[in-house]
Amino acid sequence: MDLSLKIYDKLSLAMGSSGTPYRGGLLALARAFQPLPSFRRGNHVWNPGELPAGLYYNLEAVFAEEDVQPDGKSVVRLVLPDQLFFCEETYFYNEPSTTRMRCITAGSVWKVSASDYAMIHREFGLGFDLINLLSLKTLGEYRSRTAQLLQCAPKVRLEQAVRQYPSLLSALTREELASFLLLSRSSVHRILSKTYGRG
Amino acid sequence: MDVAKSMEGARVRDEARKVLLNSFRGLLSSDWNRIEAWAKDLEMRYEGPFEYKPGEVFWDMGDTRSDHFFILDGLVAEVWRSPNDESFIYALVGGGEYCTNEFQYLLGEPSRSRFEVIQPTRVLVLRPEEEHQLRQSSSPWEQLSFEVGRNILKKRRERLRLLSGDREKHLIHLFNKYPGAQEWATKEQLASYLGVSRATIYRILDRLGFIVSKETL
Repeated sequence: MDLSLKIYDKLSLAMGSSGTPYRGGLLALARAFQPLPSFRRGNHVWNPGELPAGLYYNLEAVFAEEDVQPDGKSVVRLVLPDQLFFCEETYFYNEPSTTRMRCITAGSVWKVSASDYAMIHREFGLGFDLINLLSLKTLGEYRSRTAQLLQCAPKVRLEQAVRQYPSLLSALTREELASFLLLSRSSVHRILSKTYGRG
Repeated sequence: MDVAKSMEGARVRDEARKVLLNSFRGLLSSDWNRIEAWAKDLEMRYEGPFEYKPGEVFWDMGDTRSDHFFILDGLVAEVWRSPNDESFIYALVGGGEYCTNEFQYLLGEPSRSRFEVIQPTRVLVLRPEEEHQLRQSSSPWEQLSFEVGRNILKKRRERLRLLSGDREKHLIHLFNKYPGAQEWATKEQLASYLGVSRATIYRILDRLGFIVSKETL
């Protein structure tokens, strides 16, 4: 399947009936995605202080968005294959990023540049509907992640994360998994051995 | 006496509406000259102020109305039932902030959360019927929604950051942001908000000097 059609399907499905008036705009947007050089494990899509404007589509890689603070770092979200993503501070507020988007599993990423995005947005009058849709996606991700971190029982915390990200166990090392769930490595090892038969 | 009461009521209403209009101005400052008349019309459509007592709810789980609430003062907890069927205090909302039944408004689903008042709270309310009228004509409603949404996203991101760190810092942040929580929130509510046990919240409060006399666990 042509990648731009795949992205178009993703956008229009997400917008539902409210996307109908914007079919032309969504198609133009999907066609404007261009491949970036492939990402390898450890590469960064963006770093704190940068202004990574535009919209990204992750074809097959896995990324962790890390919130970098003076007193440590935390994982805000994971980006799995076949997902749109963006730097929230820059996309929503036109401010420099406070996060780092780090590649965990190698793969390719496509991007609409900020100038193409702005031009299509203006030409097709996409208004606030698209941006509100992406806000909605972010709200959902935050809600799930907050639930994970409020969950006291480590086993349930892991089970919930696996439900949200089915490929989690194969995508992350045990150390990354422990960091993502804010658990010790020994806890992760113990739960994996007992629950999933893998340590 | 009735005249005095009525005048007092009008004064309270005027003051509440000024607070709301100032909030709109803050959110839409870059376009304010163009939007001011529309914002004044929107402000007039809000009802209230209404007063809620601790324990009362704005809406409950399963509700399908999505009134828009603007909190003048007080503190409200969003008690959320996660897909795991467990309840947490997902967020606290206080003076100057907006809230609506997000599940209904954004996803068209019955609410999976309950908005429960923690300390006496006053609100202005915009009914969906009024919002619907606003949406029928071209209006900056989407722009306002976006600005309100941006603030909510920022707040939720900050909450994630705090949850990923030290719970003591999270609690101090909570008390600084919503001083009423210190007086009105129960230990169970604080534990639910921080994702810790009741015993842990006692330990934290004790360590921070918020418990003067030892209470029974």
